[in-house]
Amino acid sequence: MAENKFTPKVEQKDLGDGKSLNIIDHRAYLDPSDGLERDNESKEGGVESYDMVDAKGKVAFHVTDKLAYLKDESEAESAKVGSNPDASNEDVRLAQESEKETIINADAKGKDATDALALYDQYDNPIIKDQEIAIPERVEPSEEIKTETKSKVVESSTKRPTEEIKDLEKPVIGDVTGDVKMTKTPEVIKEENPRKELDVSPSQLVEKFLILSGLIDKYEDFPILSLSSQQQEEASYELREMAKRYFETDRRSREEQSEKINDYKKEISALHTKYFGTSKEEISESETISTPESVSIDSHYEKSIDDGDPFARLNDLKAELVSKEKELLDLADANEDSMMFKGLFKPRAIKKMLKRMREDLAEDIQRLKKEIEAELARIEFKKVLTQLHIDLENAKASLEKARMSAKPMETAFYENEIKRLEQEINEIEKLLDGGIVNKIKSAWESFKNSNRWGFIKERAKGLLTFGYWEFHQAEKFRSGTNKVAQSIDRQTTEQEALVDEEARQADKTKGTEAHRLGLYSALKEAGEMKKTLDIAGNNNPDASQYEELSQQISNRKREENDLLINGITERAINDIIQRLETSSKLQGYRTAHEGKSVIIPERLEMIRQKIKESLDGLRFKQEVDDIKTYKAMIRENLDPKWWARYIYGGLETILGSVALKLILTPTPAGPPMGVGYTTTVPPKIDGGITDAYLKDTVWGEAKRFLASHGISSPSNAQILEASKTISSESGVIVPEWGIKGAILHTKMHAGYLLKMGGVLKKLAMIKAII
Amino acid sequence: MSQKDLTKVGELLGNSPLDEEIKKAIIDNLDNFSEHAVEELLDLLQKEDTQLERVSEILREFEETQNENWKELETDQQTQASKLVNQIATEIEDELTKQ
Repeated sequence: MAENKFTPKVEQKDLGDGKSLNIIDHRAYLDPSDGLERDNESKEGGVESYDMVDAKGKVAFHVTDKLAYLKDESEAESAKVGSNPDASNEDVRLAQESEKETIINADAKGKDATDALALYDQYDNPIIKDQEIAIPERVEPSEEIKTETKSKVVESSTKRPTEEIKDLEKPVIGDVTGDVKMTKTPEVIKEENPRKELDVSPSQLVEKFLILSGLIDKYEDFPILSLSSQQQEEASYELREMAKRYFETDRRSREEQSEKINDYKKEISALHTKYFGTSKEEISESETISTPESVSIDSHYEKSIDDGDPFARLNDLKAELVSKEKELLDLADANEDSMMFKGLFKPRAIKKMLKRMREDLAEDIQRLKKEIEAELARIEFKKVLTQLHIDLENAKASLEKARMSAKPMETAFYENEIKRLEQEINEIEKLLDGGIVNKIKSAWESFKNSNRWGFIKERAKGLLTFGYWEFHQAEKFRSGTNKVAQSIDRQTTEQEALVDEEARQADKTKGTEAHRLGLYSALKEAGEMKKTLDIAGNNNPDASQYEELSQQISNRKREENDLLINGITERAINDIIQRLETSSKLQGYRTAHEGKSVIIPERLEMIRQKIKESLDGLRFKQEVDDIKTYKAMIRENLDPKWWARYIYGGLETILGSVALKLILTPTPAGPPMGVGYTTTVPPKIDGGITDAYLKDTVWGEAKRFLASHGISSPSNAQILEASKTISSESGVIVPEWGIKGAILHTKMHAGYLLKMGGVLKKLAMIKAII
Repeated sequence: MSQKDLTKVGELLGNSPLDEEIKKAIIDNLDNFSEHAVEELLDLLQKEDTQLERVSEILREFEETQNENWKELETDQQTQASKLVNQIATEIEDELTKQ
């Protein structure tokens, strides 16, 4: 036997830092090019038998390869060993039916070689054939290990089988050949190269599946690698069977799957007890699968408040979102041929698994985004509530003072004010206590519109003054100029003429280009709106404000319609696919191209775009109609100058009589603090206002600023960017964002001067943020 | 001015969508106003109130109209999608049959 050319194949892999990993494939003796040749080959079912003979025809040893079905004929040279130890009869059958490439691990190197070797030996080891085999526990080398050379391995054939296997395992795990000292323990290598480890360990692949399916939360919940190699295989087999049942029952609905998931968890818990001796609390029977509806944000939030960290829940959600997005990213490149999944399941099942896992992750991500929005809204609510309580206390004090001074008008005002504040506080507290966090944003909308004035305030400000009111109004008065009155009288004849001409030109194309017509019509509307806008006090509107108007009018509807369009489009795509797959006209085509899709994904994507564009076009027309309807209603029912006439003109006259400038100087709630505070009128650049006085929070100011500068519904990311810029420029300390300054954001008073110039300069960049 | 009118000014001012800062400024400086100025304030606030009532109705009506229109749009989009499904599927059928 000493002449049997039992030569391990050695490959060196560079690990960087001057270190290398030597991979030894002990199965190389099966390579006919290694001095021996096959003879007397026979094949029955998935099993191959042959003699390995030397140049003189002497039989070195006989091989009965029960894993031969795992070899890829077309890649015979590279596919030395299959590493699918638990391949079932069904797998054999599939392999024989030309699907075998999907269950073959054609690269028998590194850890695969280790596993394959140990497992192969269980089936048929020509050297120790006919002897009793006991698979020993894996011995992890903890000190310098010297490798076995060819001769040593051959000599080892005289050892007891268990000793032989230990000997064979060590060098592969210990990763050293010859007399080279091992420089790294397996643990170190694992830490440095975790993905590689995941990619090649069947045990961990099973774990990965379980995690992705939600059956366990983290690897530590079922640390297979801490088991002995034999136990690893057994546990791996049991978990894999379970995962198969879970994933391959694609006929089962998702709801049914969810119902079953607790059963699977119980099974895992039982397996955990079996292999680790203790029950796993995290996967206990009492734990149920969280659904978006059942997530208790309230309790978590309340707890976080009690713990003194109102952002704890938000931070948790953000961390979870990042984690899910990373998982989805990791999964993006996976396919049925990827190393991670190869050899574990049928290709069709893997495809379905991947699809389902991606869908689940996408759902989770959407849910988390909504929860984050809800949490942000909740935090905002809390802030608003705090401010309202302060206002209420101030109003009560002022009422007392007014009563003491016997001033009926002030008394009535503050009574009214207190009533309003109490109502708002009550509504918000009800919302916060009601536990309807997931719907908190819509509830907030309802709340705002629940009374007449709330409704008017939100819409009238936005629709009649194009969002201009909130930010610019006070500035107009502060400036003490007569620009408002001037703008009331100013005519916009030039603009009108221009827009009329554009609309007239547009009429020529009527019936040929619906979209262009819509645009021209919108332009005409915009011209008329500009006039209204000028009358309302904004004498220098820009295009973004027209855009903002139409967005304000139809934004909510558009968002709803977006969902509808997506739904209709996907249904339409499915209808097309179904029709083509069942069309009798295409019977011949399908037969001739069996196994191929009738329609390729690229074309499907083009069709999807075409349908979406068509539906978007219809919506665009509706948006334009909205503007027309709105304008017509205003024109028919309202004196367009009313606000200017009754409010601007009137107030200016009245206030002018009592020193307008003095009256409208901001009155902060407390003494001014922090760098940059001033009571002077903020400077302007490029027609825009660069400073603002803090009303509630930097976040709120940023949001309002963006809303008044063409971003009608800014995203949290956009507000965040603006808030950071404002804080940084205004000397506001925000530890959470790492921003240093002169005053802590929680210590700021109403009236603190915020620098908005930076945001104005970065507006284009912020607009580009999604 | 009567007590009732003064109370009315306070109520209307409280309800006005004017900026809170301006309202506070007015209240804090009421002592400086002449009776005539307060009468004017009452007058303009009442006019504003009437107009806001009208705006409120217009906006409600607009929302209702908008709701109806967008429902119609949804129906139109469904119909359009059905037409496209038929058209696209027929095109592909014809194309593949010729191959």
